[in-house]
Amino acid sequence: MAQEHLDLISNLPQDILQRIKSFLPLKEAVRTSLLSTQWMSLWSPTVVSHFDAGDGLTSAINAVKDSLEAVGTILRSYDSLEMHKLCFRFPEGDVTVIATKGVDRELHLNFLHSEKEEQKCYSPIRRELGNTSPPINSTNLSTLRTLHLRSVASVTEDFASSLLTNCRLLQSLKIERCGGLKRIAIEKNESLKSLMIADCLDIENVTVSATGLRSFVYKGLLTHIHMKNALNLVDVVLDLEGAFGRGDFDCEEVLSLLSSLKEVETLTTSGWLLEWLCSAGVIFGRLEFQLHKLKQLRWTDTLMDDAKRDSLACFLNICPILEKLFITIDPSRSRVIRPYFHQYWHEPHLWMDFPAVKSNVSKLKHLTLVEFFGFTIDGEDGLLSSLVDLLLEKTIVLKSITVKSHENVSWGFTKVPSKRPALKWWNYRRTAISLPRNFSFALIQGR
Amino acid sequence: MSSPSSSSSLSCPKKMITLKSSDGETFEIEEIAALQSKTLENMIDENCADTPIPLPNIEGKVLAKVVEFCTKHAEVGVDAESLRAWDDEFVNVEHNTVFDYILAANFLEIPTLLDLACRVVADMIKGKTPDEIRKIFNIKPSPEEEEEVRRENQWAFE
Repeated sequence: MAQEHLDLISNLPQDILQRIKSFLPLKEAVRTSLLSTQWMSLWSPTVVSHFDAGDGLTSAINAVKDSLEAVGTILRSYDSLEMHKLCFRFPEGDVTVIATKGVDRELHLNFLHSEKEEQKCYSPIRRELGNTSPPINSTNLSTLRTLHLRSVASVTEDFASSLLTNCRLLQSLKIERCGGLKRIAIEKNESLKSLMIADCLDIENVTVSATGLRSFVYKGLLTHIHMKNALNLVDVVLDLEGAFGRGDFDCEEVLSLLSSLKEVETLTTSGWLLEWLCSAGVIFGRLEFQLHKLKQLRWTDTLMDDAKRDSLACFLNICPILEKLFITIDPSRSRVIRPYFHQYWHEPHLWMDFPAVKSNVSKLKHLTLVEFFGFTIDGEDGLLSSLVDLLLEKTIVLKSITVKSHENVSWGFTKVPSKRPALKWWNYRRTAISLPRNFSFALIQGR
Repeated sequence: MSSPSSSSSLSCPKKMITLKSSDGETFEIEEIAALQSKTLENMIDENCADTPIPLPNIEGKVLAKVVEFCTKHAEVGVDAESLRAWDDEFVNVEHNTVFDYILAANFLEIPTLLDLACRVVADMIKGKTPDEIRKIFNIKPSPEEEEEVRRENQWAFE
């Protein structure tokens, strides 16, 4: 019986396997190269081109120009997935760029550095990624829609930068793990719709002026982020692991960033950011702007405590039409310790007790759904129940509150017509835990 | 060569073509349906389609399904929605059979069937780890090269 199970797929003709691959998302298509020797050979012949950027500025400029033309040639057609290698020789070491081209006008550039580069010797040329060099004439580059840059180190920034300038109709850009990169500047761009910056450890400044931008994801340490003319932004994720080591936390700048996000509909933020703002005396309700289109808010942090809870409550005041709220605690994230603030934006308010905090929260007239993840019913020192209390008091059309623990045990509760004094929490195992609370909701069996 | 039946006859029979599978079975297919296949279309154009066409690469049971596919896709008045549903049902078979369809569609140059079957295979691969894919298709791994591929394309494995 086992003999009948032959490997029929690998024996299909190469062009058919290519066709099958072209129906896969680029990442998955690349993963198939692992399957066996035959599948690996599907990716070859990988064209290898060499560029010598060693002897001074002219040769460096020529290397950039030639390599861009090489990329242009690669982008000549999108019929099949291809992998190309571009090898740069710099005085600081060799860099190999693996360019993987997908059928959906997508290009992924993975920069691999030789040993020498690991010592991080920065080149004297400016360490910036953005619209810097003059455009070259290569129409093929403007056919690219999605560009993904990974591990661009300082020496290859000119190449990456020029690429960015020349891919004039780029719609989606992802910049990942680019250590040494200090600045990203995208200016006067009308075609970019989605931007993601992740894990660029040395980044100091991100300036984006892209009128068509709809989605912005930033993952890493908080840094100077300037969003200009971001009128079409719909979805923003600020997954912040902490504040930039050097310099103080600049309240004004963070508020200015928040203000530039005031048209978004979905926002994901790290809890500590709100906590720090409130510790610095910011009272969200007193700001000149509101997130007046925000429908969905995701709050994530390592843990929940009084200050975080109160700062979240304060933040809800500028989310007037919020419909869905997701609160997640994830202990695997690194803890961000709050510094002591000496000066206050408006006035300090985190010292207030919870009833006072609660009374300052305006009605959440549109909130229908709340999900807590990573909480347990009787844990969190009553923080969960105080939050639930607040939500119940301030909402009008709330339909469901769900609490899920890390072990995926979940409790849900809904309104019941009659009010009952004693409350029971039910989880999916049908065990009831009575808690003496006087909610006017009763918990029923969770999913 | 005689042209297809003129419209003056009362019941004009549609021109049929005979195909012969590798195991000697014969199948009739309407000329219109056969035009879905570029290979058969060329043969019809060159007037080689009057005698049974031998297809030594394709088994009887596969050829029967291919004829069914082409006939369905040559029908008029079928809306896209129901055709899609029919297609989904058509490829809802064991993956070995899907490969048979692919090879047949490749040989006969039927782009619609080829695309459909390839997409089905792609869907089988999507969302699965390399180990899972190997299991489904009985692919033998090659561990020596695996390490290097993983390193060079780390981004795809995260």
